[in-house]
Amino acid sequence: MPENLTQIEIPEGMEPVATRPDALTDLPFTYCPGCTHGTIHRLIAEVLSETGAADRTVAVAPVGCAVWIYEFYALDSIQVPHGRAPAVATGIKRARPDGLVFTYQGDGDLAGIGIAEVIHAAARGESISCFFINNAVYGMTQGQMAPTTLPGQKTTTSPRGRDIATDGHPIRICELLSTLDGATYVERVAVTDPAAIRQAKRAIRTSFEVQAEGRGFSLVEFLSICPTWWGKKPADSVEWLRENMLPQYPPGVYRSAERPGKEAAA
Amino acid sequence: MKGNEAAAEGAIAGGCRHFFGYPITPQNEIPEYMALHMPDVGGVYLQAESEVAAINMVFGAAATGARVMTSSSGPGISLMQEALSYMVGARVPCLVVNVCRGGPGLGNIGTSQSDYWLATRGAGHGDGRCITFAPATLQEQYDLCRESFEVAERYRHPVMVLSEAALGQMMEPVIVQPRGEPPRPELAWAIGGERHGRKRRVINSLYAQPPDLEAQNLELAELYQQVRREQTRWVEVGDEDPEVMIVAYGIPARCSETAMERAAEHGIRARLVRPVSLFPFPHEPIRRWSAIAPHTLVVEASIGQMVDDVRTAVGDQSEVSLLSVLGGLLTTPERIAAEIRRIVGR
Amino acid sequence: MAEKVATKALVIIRAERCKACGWCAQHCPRGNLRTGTDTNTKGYHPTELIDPDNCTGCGQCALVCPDVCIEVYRAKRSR
Repeated sequence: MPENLTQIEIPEGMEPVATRPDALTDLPFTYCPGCTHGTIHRLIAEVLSETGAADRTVAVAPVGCAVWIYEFYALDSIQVPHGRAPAVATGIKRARPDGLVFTYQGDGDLAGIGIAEVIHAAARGESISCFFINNAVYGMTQGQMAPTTLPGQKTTTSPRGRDIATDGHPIRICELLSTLDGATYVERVAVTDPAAIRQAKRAIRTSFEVQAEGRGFSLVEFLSICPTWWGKKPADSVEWLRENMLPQYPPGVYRSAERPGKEAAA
Repeated sequence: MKGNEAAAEGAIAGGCRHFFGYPITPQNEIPEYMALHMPDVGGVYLQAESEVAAINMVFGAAATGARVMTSSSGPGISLMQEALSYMVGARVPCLVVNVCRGGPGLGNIGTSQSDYWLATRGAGHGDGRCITFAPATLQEQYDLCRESFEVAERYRHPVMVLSEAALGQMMEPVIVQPRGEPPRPELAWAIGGERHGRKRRVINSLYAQPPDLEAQNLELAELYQQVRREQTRWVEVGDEDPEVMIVAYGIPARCSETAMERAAEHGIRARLVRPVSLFPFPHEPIRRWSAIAPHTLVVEASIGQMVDDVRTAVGDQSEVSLLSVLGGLLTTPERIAAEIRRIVGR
Repeated sequence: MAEKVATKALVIIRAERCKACGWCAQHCPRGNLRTGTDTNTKGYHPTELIDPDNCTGCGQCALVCPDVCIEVYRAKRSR
């Protein structure tokens, strides 16, 4: 039996602080070392396991590095065309309103090809949870410019650095969605350090609560690193994120409404 | 009722309770009918932001085992190709109604049959193709839409009903069935809702390891063989000893029937073989009659798409001619009759 | 005040899943983790706990680990 599946006997008188959530399968993650996809997968799985929602949750897998989430989550799952996850999630939710559904999408999937689908799902106030992994680059296809790539950032398709004159400006998804009356809860978090990771987990929990209570659309944007295509070690990537992405994409709650169309009190 | 309404009502009678679509001429009566009637049967109507979104909503809802349809016309059907390919690869059933208009490009809103290749040669990229049915009357349109969900579920595959603008817009009497909930089979692959501890299921078309994809492709090839054995449909009318075999579907087929009567006044014996399934294509009866009729006339509202399939069936047993009706124009029996007389030589 | 138990905290690192990204070592408040010298089947040098008796079971390593390699247990507190 492979070592990672071995059951180890825990001594009497000890309690778990952190264990593998059962909403994950046993499959080791195939992500690059230090990639925060794994961290975020784990947080989502923990919330689902802790709230007992895994039994009735569908994961909608994107095209991108995270295409494999249908292998990593021990949930009913569906792998869908690039960018279309919010539309597929809409179909699933309209057909099975008794269940929960979340999408998990990268820069290209959500902010590029799929931007219409997420905007309209939010405008309609679909009771789905969209998890947006923003690492300012296209990972799976080997490091091209993304709609979220920063001005001056070098990628394989902006080898001289993103030039505003020809490549335009990056898109701030949370700010964009916050203008939609149909969106209930929109928050941007980072996963750069323990405090930020705890905040990210709270945001995930809030998103699923909003959905479970039928209160409409939520999106959590996770500022993430891509050590491989940024060409930096994980620790240096975190520094780069802090210095460059945080100013462009400030973390915070961008929309928090009791229900679609109604602002939260104070 | 109107043809588009017949399609929608047929689908409801067939158990459709989820419609996702987007407006495009000449099929807007379908989403409008669904918007009006879906709530009456406890169903879901949703106007999507595009055909791309609509077909992906179909994908999601159909993956949960619901009976789902969408409808569109040429440009919208083009937009739906990617998700249709995913549904073929992931083995998810659905109904798509294409009310064909003039093309290519924006074309016009006239009637045509120029999506024959799109329907029968592809469900998007890869080795998929829609199981395609073509009505010629509104009754047939209603019946095909009603039956198609069962067909789609049996093969776990998208079904396209290839209609055309003229059929969608015309009015004819239709005998309708009650709208009750048809019996549903247990679906061992559907996702969503409470699992109650059952093993998780995955709807997926990605097979990264070539041997795995090969196995899937072989399954699909086998499936299409089964579809050929079980779903080939056609109608024949006319003489038992024809000089001319006419092959046509949809409105051109109806005009051809009238044209045959005109031609009979000049002593010309003709037989119409009207495909009702376009994929699987009825090669066998066409091959059989081409051995008897020295002339074969294909009448279609395109520059020549179905004619390729007819030539495959006919080989060199019969001389094949094509009468194209183009530009969104409606065919006329007079035109077809003139063509019959021209090729027979009297 | 904690009961006397055999260990204060138990940290299990699943070496085969570890990719030596260094996050856990970076965030351990006691600096109690380091890259080891063993090699797993994927070619990485899995992280190891330096001094088990120095671990408080805070769980910060598991919190940051992107590969879900780490399980943490601690002594139950006496009432």
